[in-house]
Parts: sequence; structure tokens; C-alpha cells
Amino acid sequence: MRRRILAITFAALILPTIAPALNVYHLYVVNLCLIYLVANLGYGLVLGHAGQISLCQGAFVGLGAYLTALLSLRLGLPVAVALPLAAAVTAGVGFVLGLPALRLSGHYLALVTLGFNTIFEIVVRVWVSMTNGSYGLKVPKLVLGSVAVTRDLHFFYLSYGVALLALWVSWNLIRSRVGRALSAVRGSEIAAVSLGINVARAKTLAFSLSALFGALGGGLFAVTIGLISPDDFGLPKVLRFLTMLVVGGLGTLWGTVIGTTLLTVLPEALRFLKDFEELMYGVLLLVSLNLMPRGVAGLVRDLYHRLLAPERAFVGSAEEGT
Amino acid sequence: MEILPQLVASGLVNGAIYSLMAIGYVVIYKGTNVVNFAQGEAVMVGGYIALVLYTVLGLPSYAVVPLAVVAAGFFWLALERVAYRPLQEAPIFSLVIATFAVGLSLRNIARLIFGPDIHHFPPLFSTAPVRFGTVYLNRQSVWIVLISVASAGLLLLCFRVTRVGKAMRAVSQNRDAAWIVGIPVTRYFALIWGLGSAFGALGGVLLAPLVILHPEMGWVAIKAFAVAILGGFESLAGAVVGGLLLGVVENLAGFYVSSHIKDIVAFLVMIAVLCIRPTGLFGEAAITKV
Repeated sequence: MRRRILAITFAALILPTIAPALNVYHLYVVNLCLIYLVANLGYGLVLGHAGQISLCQGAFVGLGAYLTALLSLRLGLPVAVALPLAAAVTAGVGFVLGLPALRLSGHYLALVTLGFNTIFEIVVRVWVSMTNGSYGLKVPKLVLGSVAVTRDLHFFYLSYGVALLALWVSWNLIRSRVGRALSAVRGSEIAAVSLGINVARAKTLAFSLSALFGALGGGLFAVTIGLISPDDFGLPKVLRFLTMLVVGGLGTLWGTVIGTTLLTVLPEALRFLKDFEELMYGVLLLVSLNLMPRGVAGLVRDLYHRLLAPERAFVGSAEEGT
Repeated sequence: MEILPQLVASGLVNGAIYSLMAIGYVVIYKGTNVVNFAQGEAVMVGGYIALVLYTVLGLPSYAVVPLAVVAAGFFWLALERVAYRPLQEAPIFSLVIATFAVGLSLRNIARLIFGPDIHHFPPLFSTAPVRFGTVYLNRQSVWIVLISVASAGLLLLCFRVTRVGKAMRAVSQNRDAAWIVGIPVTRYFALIWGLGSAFGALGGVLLAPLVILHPEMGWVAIKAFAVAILGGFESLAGAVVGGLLLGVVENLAGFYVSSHIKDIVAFLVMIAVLCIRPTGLFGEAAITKV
């Protein structure tokens, strides 16, 4: 355990140490990774831990981004206030959205959320007087204390802090009563009910948290990139988040980290394939579901047990889903 | 001319198309327990195949409709082989995600082939008006209703009477039992995907002359989903009745309330059903034993 904590602390310190040495573009990619990580940690709670199919993480991220920008543009709130407020409002939206659909098992949530994401994109596109439509919205500068945050390095520290916080919260949540309740719901809803778990409450909590994390990521996205448009939050983005989680490994935190990192860095390197984006993610998702249903995380775990610690294989399989 | 019967009649025309698309959802859901998130793309693929057959190859309309549907059916059979069959033993969760991925990938492919712009589809049938009492419809609308009714009726009949239909019902009811009595379940799964998607495609072919074609047009299937929920999701009759009902209600709301509300009606219906009677009009309450 102690070795583990040391290793994690060490890993957590690597990135801030090398960050100042990175050039602007690399730093931008790192920031993007961190922002998507925050959003995906929330998404992973619903998809991976609770096993519920939600398809509106794009809209949650978008809601966070647009509310952050609009609260400060239209109501004159400082961005530092608007961002957390936007996240709180989005969590509320997630709560209300989940109420009817989460009462029912089956695929209602998937469709309600698919509809929500599409409607969100349409509203942002059509309501030009409020959102500036497809041209995109310029986001006001983030001011902390008396300093305007403009440098990429500062955004890095900000995103890094939020990402660590999100990781910490997720880590603790999964190991709490709620986390175990979510795993039970994923395993079998009927069994969970018979164990006295309030299934609807557990699912609603996970869903609201996914909205909260998504919106936090969205707020960070807005202030870091500085320009947001409906294209950033449509269904293709949902597919991308989904693929990140599946490729990384559903239901594991470090799978989320791996998947997010891989699929943020890779597309940056393959920019010339922009026209094939959905096709690429779609095929990747299908291949991944087929060949490695537990994602890269599962693959690495299997390899590790086979090569290095065969005698611990049983312990490993019992730990699955942590 | 009275407006109400007219609104109802033209609502029924749209409703007939919604019914077809909803039948696609129901067939696939009953057969495989998967909500097909690529159903909208089945509609889109049907529309584009018809566009190619009709405007590029110049086939007559009586050939375009059946050919497009059959071609779309085979297209989905092939896709099932590559994308869905390998996941047959995987959790339903994976299959549902797979349909979502397939749907968005197909939009991407349609955009690559046909470009992101809209295509206008010329009328499939004559648009000369026909009079029914106080109601006027054009010939094309009459054809749309006739074709929809005929194909839905044929499907129902096929499920009741034919060997293939009965086997499909057996697979839907209990996959393992069906396998034990010697039904090649895997082949029937493929057939179910092909059939369900072909109904989506038929909806797309008939819808094409009424709307504009574009790669994102699969969005319209969300209305069919609302219809399926309204009808109970497991009931073919429910899909037909629900579709006609939605078509009419939509038209009335569009006229009497506001034309903006027309496209939202489907959502309102969906939410209302989920809150009031989640099993829909024709659905049976699922008994979950704890």
C-alpha cells in the first residue's frame, strides 16, 4: 500500500515537473488530455461503474462551456465564479434529466440522453442571438485574484489541479458504499434491489456526477481554448468520449486515463484524417469491443499476470472492476 | 373545405411512415433485446439507395421502392455479419454501443459519398390530387399509405403463418429453447437485423420525396422511437397505431398550437408515456421478481 502511494505521488509529480519545458503546442495537447479526462471520469462513472448507457456527455460538456461563457458575458459574472456555477447548474440539469429515465431499466436512458445531446446542439446552433450560433462564442478571460490567466502553463496547472481532484473524488467514490452500490447495479439490478440498495438513487447520483464532471471539463475547455462552437459538443464528440472509455477499459480509473490520453494524442497526430473522424472512432470502437472488451487496462492486467505474477492471477481477477 | 379532416388525413400519411420505421425498432428489439441506434441510418441508407436508383439509374418508381428495400436489406445483412455477429455472445451493453458506432460511421460514409449538402428527391408518384369526400390528398400520399399498410400487413401475416415467421417469433421468445428445437438462431438473428433495417429503409424510401435527403436525416428516427415507446416497444400493432396517432397529433399541434412545436411533439409524447404509462399502449408490464 505504502509503495503504491509513493508510486502515485511520484507519477503525479512528473507532469508538473516537465510541463514548463514543453512547447506551446505540446502543452495544448496535454491540457486537452486533462480537460477530457475530467469529463471522461464523470462519464465513466455512469457507463463503466453503473453500467448505464448515457449518450449526452457532449451536451454536459457543452452546457458547462456555454454556461460559463454566457454567465460571464450576459450577466457580468467573473469567469472564476461562472465556471463552478455552470457546473452546479449542469449537475442539476443532469439530475432532472435522469429522473424519468433512470426509474426504468432498459434503454430509456440511452435514448433520452441521445435526444438531449441532439437538442442541445440544435438549440445552440439556432439560438443565434444568445449563443452566436455556428460562428462560435468568444469566452471572456479568466481572472484569478488580480491576475488574468492567459498563459498555457497557468491553464495547465488549473486543469491539472481539477483533474487530480476529479480523480481523487472518483477514487474515493468507487471505494465507498455508493461505489459498491453502483457495481451491484451494473452486475444485476434485481440482485441489487434485493440487497436493499436504492437503485434509482445510486443511478441518479452517478448520472448527476457525470454531468458535474462533464461541465467542469467544459468550463475548463471554454477558458483554455477561448472559443467554443456547437461542433465541439455534438454526437461525434460523444462517440469520441465513448471510444476513449471503451478503448481504455470500462470501469477502471486508469483505463479512463489511458484511453483519454491515447485518443487525444493520436488524433492530433492523425489530423489529416479529419474527414474520416466518426468512421475512424466507430471502427475503433467496434474492433475494441470485439478484441479487447476490457480495454487496454484489461489487456495490460492480463499480460502482467501472465508474465510477471502468475501466482497472483486469482487475486487479480477478484480485484476486477476496481 | 373543413380543415380538421384534412389535417387528420395528411397526419395519417406521415404517421404511416413513422409506423414503418417503428416496426423496424420493434422487430429488432423483440428479436435481439437491442435498441437499434442505427435505425435512423437505416432510414437514411434507404433514402440514398432510392435516390441513386431513381435519379442516377433512372428506374421507374414501381421498381425503385422494392429494389431499394431489398438492396438495403442485403446491405444490413452484410453489416450484421461484420459488426454485430461477433458481439452476439457479448453483453447487450456492447451491442447497443456498437449500433451507435455503426450509425455515426454510416453518417460519415454518406457524407464522404454524397457530400454534406442536401439532395432533393423528385416525387416518386404523381402528385395529382385525389378527392375523398371533403378531403384532398395527392396520389403520392395515397400510395405511401397503401404501401405502408400492405407491408405492415404482410409482416404480421408472415409472423403468424409462415415457417420463417414462426421461427423468428420462437427466437424472440427464447433464444436457447429455439436453438434446442433446431432453429439456426444465428442465421435468424441476421434475418431479424436485415428485416428490421429493411423496414427502416422502406420508411426512408417513402419519406424521401416528402423531405430533403442529407447524411444527418436519421434524426427523424427519434420520432419512430417515440412511436415504439407509445406502442409498447414489443408490439407490432402498437407500432402501427402509435405511428398513425403521432402523425395526426403532430399535425394538429402544428396547426392549432404552433408550427415550431411540431417536431417537439414526439419528445413530449415520449416523456409523457415514460412518466404515466412506461409500458405504452399495448405493452405488458414486465414482471421483475425480486
